[in-house]
Amino acid sequence: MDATVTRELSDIVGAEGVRSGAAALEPYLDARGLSTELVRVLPRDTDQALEVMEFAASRKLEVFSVRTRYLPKGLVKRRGLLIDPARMDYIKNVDGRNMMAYIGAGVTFEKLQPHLDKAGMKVLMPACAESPYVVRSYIDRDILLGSTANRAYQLSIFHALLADGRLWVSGSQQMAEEGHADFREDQGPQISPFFGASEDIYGIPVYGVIYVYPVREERRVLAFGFNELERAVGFAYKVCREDHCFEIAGADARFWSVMAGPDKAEGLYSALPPWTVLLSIEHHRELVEMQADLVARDASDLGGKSLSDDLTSALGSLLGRPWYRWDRDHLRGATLPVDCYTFSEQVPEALSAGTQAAEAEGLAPAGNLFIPVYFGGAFYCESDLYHAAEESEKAREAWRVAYRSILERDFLVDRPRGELASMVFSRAKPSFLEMIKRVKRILDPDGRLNPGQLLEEV
Amino acid sequence: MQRSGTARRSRYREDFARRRVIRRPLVHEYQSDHNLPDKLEEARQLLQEALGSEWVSDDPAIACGYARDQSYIPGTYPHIVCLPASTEEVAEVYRIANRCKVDVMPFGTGISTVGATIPMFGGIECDLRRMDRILDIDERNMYARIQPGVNYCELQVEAQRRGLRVANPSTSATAGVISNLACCNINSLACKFGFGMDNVIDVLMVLPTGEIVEAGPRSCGMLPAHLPGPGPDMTNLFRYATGTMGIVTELTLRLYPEPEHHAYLYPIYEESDMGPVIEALYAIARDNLAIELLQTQNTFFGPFIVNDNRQAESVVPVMPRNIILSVFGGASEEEASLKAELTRRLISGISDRFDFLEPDTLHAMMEEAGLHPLVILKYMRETVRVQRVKGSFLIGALMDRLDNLALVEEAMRIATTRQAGTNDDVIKPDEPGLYFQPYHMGRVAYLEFDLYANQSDPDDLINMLFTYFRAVLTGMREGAIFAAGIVPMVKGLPMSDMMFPVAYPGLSVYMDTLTELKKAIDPNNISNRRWDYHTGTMPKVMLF
Amino acid sequence: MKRKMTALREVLSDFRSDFSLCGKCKLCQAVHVQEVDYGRFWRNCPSGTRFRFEAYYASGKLEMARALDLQEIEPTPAMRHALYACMLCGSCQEQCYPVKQIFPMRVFELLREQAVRDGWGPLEEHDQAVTNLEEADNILGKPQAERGAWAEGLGLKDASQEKVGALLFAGCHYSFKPELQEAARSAARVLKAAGLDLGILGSEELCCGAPLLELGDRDFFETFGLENIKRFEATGAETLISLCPHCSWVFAEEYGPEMALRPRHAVQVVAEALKKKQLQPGKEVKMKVAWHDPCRLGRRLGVYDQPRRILSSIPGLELVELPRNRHNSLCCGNGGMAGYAFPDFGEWTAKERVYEAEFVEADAIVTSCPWCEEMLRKGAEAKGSRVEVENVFSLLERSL
Repeated sequence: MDATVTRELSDIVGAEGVRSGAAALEPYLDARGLSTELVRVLPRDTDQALEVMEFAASRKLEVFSVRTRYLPKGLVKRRGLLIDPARMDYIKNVDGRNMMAYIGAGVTFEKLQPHLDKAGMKVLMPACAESPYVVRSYIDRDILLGSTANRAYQLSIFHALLADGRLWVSGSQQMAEEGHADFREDQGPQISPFFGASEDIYGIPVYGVIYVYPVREERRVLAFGFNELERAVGFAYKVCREDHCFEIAGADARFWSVMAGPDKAEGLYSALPPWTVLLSIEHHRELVEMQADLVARDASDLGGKSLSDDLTSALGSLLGRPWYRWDRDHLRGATLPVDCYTFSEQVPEALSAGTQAAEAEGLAPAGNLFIPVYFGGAFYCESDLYHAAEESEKAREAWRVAYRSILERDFLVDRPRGELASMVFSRAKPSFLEMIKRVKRILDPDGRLNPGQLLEEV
Repeated sequence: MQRSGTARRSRYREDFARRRVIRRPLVHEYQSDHNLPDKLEEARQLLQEALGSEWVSDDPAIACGYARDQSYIPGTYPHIVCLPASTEEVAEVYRIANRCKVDVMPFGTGISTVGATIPMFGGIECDLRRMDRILDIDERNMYARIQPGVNYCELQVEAQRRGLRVANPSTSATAGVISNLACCNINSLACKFGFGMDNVIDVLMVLPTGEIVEAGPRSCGMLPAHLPGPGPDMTNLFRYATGTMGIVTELTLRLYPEPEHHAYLYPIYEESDMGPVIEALYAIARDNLAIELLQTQNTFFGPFIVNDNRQAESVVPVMPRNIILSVFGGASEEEASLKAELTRRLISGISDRFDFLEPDTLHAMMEEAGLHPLVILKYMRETVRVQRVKGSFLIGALMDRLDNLALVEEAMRIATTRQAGTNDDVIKPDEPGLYFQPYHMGRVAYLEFDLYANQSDPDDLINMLFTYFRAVLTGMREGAIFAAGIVPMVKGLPMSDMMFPVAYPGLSVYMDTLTELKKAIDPNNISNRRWDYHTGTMPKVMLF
Repeated sequence: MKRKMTALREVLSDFRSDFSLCGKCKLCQAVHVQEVDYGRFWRNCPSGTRFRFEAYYASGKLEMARALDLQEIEPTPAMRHALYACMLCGSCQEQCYPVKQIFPMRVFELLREQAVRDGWGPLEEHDQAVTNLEEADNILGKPQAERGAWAEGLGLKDASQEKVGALLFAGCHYSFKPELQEAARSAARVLKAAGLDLGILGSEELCCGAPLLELGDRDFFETFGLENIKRFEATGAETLISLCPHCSWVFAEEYGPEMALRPRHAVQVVAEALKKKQLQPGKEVKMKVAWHDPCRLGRRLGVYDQPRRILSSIPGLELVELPRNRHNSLCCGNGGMAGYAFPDFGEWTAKERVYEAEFVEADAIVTSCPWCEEMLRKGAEAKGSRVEVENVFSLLERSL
């Protein structure tokens, strides 16, 4: 990359905000021995970010964004700027009264937590995040613990950088100042939702207003063991349909033990039943007592057994923090999740796709997770393929086989990336793809923003 | 039998002749290249071939039914009315319209208070009511797939039979579901379950070019598993579009679980300071226990429970000034009752000036009139009573935080009473019907005020319009936002492209994008044509 | 001296506020939206459901009236069709009035009167009916001399010759149509069994004029009306009992204020007789039946309970309700002279009603209106349905 680029960028964001060469890609990628023409830029705030974009426009540079913790290797070969939100980690306000937090795109769940604690609030935590950033997690529709009774969109307003250096403002802030409605609907046909799960081909989010939740008077964590997956799912469905939980997740012993971390994995694996549904109930004390009884009865009706206090506590400690995809890596070295959404009765089918594919390739048994969304109307299903470095080809093949099986059954695969995006969008109706491209042509006529990151031709 | 007497000239005709009658011109616009007479005739013939002659008409007696709605907007006739029966036929309507350069206006059920189905320049009125099927309703997985002619009454009945509930708005149960989701869908469940775009899973729509687009899971042939993916979410491109972006012919929407047992709590507050009421709404909303929650003032609530105008006027003063309606659900009666009881304690802790209307007493009173609160909430009928006071009303719909809405409400109330040449004709402070609707656990709320007018009385109409705009602008000056996306309605007003971005800097990029998208998907500008592509302005100013 | 009933007369412009204040809420298309048990049965406007354009619903016809009033439109074939396809069933008014205090049906009736006066109504399809009334004093064009033949052997008095306690008015359909005469005979026998001093006018009975009123020919209707009142009063009867709700309606609403006799439908009289135990049904009639509320008997005259009481009194009879019942009743397809002009449309509507009966697994639809009986039978036959169409008096007689 031309040295003037890094110089001019330094003028905008400061020298500490510019990384080139191998440092451009660390720590997102093991770039040892690789050279790249990407320059990683870390603006501090929206104004700097906009200036960077204007600069890129003037130089007709391609612009990429950091969207995941580990960047795809393909990015190495690209030339242009890589916008990194890490320094936009300001927390403008946590408004406990109106239950919203105003944060920069570089705010992580960990950074946000003390501020939330101070305000007596909490957020919904992702269950398989690829990025530690809150705005990223929400705009890309990560599956969230607590998705059952709380709609998918936890992001109300966002601001995004456009390719030409303008700022996209979503929702009510198009016409009202911050601190008023701060509501997610655009002032006409809804274009802002295009930005979600779009690999930032329309704009790069730099700021967001997220939903936060009050910490309640009483919180009870319960865990019930089941021998059969169908019964575990049936129980989770009932609990959600009756709105008797805040967070809920069901998984097999493998998954829970892996999530518990390397120190506890083995012990937990042998102690846990085949399937465990973990849930939290939180509200007024009297109501929690009553609902806990109702839930216990429901579990018992389906053959579920309450786990011991120790086990419950061990699993319960997993709640209240984000679950990252790389948390699972300690088992074999790496994890490839296979995930989809389907209906409750098809959860076993969805999970068996990954399980069987792992077995067929001789990998370690998969860890399986399901999370109800929307009162049990649908279920997020995830099979984690654990593999060592030398097994990565096999894991990738198992991953492909599993997804083919899932797609053949028409299960919903949300926010696909990379190879998966090709698989998913190969099924897409041409008119849908054309709409994606139409909006792209309007917002980024030169096609400089994250080219090829969602679709090859976009 | 021989007729007695002779047939005589009717009194009606004699009366008519005596009156000064201005024959309303039906000219839509001058010197346009749209809707040319020979092209209209060509379009009519092509439509008849495509849809069947039974379903196409250019008769003024047929067209007049589409010329007006509840609003004050003067009658504007379509040239042709057609009724397609399928997505493919809708696409064909658009193709014909493009070929002949004839405008198209979609008509869902025609229940509009703002002229949303009145064709500005005539053209083709595309009445979608032949597409009236519930295509699928899934009890376990809580969704329904419907066509545009399905109304809330029908869908709610079918949902209820399956232990489910659709988030019906506070409007007539005969309102079309898709039409309503295209514009607002303010409902009493919005606090807990959301509203509008929160309800939409996927859509099938026809763009103005005639191209058929699927958005949401169906775009990739996937199950409607309650997410708008995969990838970019374009499921709500039709929302607030008033038909400018095309026609939705199928929509999959969420249904909500209906609890087995219900409990009710009706806090009332007699005083005029809104502070404790706002606190109460915050508290109940934040608790997220109530499945239905709204607050109304006596001016809004009163007309719902009596039978005629005279009774309505007399009942308002005897109703509590502020009533909060909250409904709780539970798997057992005890659970539902406990939720209500916990909320009662919460409210009592906020202020001892709250009282509670006993549910049993109120319900007994209502059941005498053949009503039950849950029935009223799920199948709105009485809402149209608000129109009977004078015949029509304009909805003032603002959105802001609950704290700010109290200030907005006060400022708006003052504004409606201060008019030039104040006299007995001004809206009295107590007259606007008012209610607050919290959304999303009280994070934001909706304020509605209704101003009534006799739309056939020009003086009453003008008075109401000026009051309305004054009230809305006052509210927006206080920081509230209009509660529906208004850009498609105001785009094209003189200097709007200049004024709006200056007044609202955050809007400029959105407006530019929307303008370009509109041009991209409607190159001939035929779908609810409101503004001219060359000049960017409306040939005929329509505020709605 | 002219009678009062021709003096003050409503005209369309009297209802200007009604057609100007329609709020387009579309409640007129539906049954009472809070009384729907099955989504399938929410609709209640036959012409709107069949022809679909807005003009076929009340909201659209109100707009037609307004547009006509404002001289925006002239009468056209489409206007005539939309106006006369309406069955004047009153369902729209039933839903509209409680919330808007608008009388849509009254507007349509006056619009028809306007049409006749201005020469664009009724339709050519109605010409035969009008000619029959002009030439034969009955809508079917049958010889009046045969009008009383249905009652031979029943021992009914000739009310034109002797004073009677109650004058039974069979109406044109029951008098002349062989397939309907048995129902009239059953009704007469039941009324006699209840102890009434019953007589008929026989060949002196004229059409009540209801079809003319429905067509909008008020002048000609009133011609019949005046003559009928004269003949009724000459009988000295205190009560005028009609078998056809169309007759009952005009007797009550139009003749009533001017007439010395008290008009009633036969079901009202029989229900009262059952209450007083003047009739005691004892034999079992094992059937599952559903009562179809005729529009003019139910919505117009408010008679809902009496026929149900009659049916409930029959041992062995199981009474179920159609999904659209009472004030939500769906028209049979033969109201407002719409079925007369458009028999296919009438049959189409009747098939829908028969479907309702199939839905509740009724063996028979029971009613007490010749227009309904005739059209429902046509609908059942066209549908190949096993559902029978019965007259309430036929069933009751079987049980006596």
